Amino acid sequence: MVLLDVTGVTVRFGGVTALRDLSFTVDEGSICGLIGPNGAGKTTLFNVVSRVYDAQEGAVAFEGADLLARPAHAISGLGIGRTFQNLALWPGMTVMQNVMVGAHHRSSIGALRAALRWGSGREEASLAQTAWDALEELSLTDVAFHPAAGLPFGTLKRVELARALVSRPRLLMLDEPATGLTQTEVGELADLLVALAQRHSLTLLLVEHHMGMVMGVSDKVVVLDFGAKIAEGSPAEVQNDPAVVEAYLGAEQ
Amino acid sequence: MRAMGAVAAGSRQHRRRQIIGWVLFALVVALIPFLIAETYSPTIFGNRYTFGLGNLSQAIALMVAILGLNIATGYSGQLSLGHSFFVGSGAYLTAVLVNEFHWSYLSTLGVVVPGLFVFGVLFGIPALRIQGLYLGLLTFAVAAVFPSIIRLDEIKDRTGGSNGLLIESDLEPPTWAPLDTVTGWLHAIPGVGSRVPDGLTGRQEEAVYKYFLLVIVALVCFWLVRNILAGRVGRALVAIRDNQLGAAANGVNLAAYKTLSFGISAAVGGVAGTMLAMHSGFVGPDEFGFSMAILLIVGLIVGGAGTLHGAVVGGLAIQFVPVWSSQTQTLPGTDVALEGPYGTAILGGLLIAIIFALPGGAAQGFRRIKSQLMPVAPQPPTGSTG
Repeated sequence: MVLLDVTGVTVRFGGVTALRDLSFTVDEGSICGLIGPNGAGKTTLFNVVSRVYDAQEGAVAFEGADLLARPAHAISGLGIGRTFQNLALWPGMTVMQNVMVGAHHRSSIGALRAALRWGSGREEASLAQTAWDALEELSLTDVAFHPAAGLPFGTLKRVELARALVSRPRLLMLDEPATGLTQTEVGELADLLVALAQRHSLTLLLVEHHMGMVMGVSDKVVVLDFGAKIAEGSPAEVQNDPAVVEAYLGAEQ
Repeated sequence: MRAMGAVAAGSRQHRRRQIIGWVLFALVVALIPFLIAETYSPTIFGNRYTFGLGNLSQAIALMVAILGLNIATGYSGQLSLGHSFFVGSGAYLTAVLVNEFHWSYLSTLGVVVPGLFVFGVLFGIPALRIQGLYLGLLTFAVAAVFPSIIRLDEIKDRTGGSNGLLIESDLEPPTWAPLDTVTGWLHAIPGVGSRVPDGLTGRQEEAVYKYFLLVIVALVCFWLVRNILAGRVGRALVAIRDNQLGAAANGVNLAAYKTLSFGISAAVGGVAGTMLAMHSGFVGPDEFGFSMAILLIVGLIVGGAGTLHGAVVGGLAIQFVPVWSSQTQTLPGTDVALEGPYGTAILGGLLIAIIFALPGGAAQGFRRIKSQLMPVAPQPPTGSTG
């Protein structure tokens, strides 16, 4: 069953076309890799799905619902979580508090009830528990009460992953999760992502430059170049596609 | 290493320490009005300084004003230079309701709080489109225009125009309040008791009574705001301040929370206005001009933006530093006379010094000292296994 359906999406910034008539689908329960050279439009697509950018043309459907009709803050409630290439954490809060915000849409205490302490204690305790469980799952409990700043980049990337997990997403979009990791760590991350996807019945959309990892975990790979899709298929098919070799892999080999 | 002597958060020891802290705080708050009912005026290095109850009560109202500003500016990062507008509106609303409809001071809060909340929400709507310095400039214009609005011919009869409004109500202490008796007891304590007068004059009694009323209103405000900011709403506001993209992607409705923060901020500012009206029994248009707006921002930064303790320190600072600065008539320890408006200059110098030494304000300094002397180790939620 198709979970995410991108159809004919075009995004222009002034004279620059960041995405050109892009169409692809992501099946429920699958891991889909999105690759392409720098500037190919991978992060732009993430930003279209999470409603940071508007698409001039095309449609994006999540379980058949029109995503482009929703505001940015409604996306996580629909079941789409994401992490950011250059981190979008809040250094003014601890790691634990950062992760608790991930469950924002699943909690409901507003200003008035909080002011009067009307049920806020119970909700707060359950949010803390949810966040703690996610921190445990990602081995982050040691830094739980540390501010979300001044920690190693790889750790902060995991914090973002924990934050995305507590929103209980069905689709998780990861923007270069392996950046800054050593070869061994990349292997561990790949195993972790596959395990998480199974445990939480996640569908993953993965942007990554680390070819070994993408090819190793993905069921399907979509290749972008200059904002357009140049290939789509299983890792093996994509690796042998002449267009991909020329545009992307050829330059690396 | 630092966690060595740390007590676990929520443990018996930690709770005992907290209770001791609150008892000490309550003692200081309860005793200080009696100690300074007769203004304390020491001479330090040849200059005579005063520490009086009137200034302290005014500082308490300013603490609440800064508390309000802190919500929009300190927590959710929306630079508001127009907070004096809300404080002034609250003060004038109270003055008019007391004078024309003979309400009691405290019952005017029933109009001030919801009224100013709506005001703040409307005020917050432009903040959805503009940010940073531009928002600061726009809000500053609103602050600057407040005295002119009060002087408008159409409403001059109500507001008193340039002359201001004298509020026709005194805050007489109720007969059951044992202020005079307590003073007598304190005076009877050997040693320290000599600092307390033997009984209060009628005016002193009124000042002490007002002080306690203002303290209670302030404590309620701080408690309510703390409850809001300690949980989900507070985290959402800080998330907006620190990274809007991340906040939106995690389901925080930026527009709703920004306007909400302005609404609460204005409502609390309005309460501060009511408190100032209670304190002085008079409202004048120029008290609530842009100089107050700037002063509140200074208090916020000096105390510590984004912290509740900071509002307390900030309120004391913007009340007492200018007073004490202008009482410094000669260069300390010498006969060289000082002239000119150096009170504000000293406040400015203090601001620069604080920003360099403690970018997080005085509250950051306190927290550092506290975490060194009395470390507390946060604990995982009780349901967890690890």
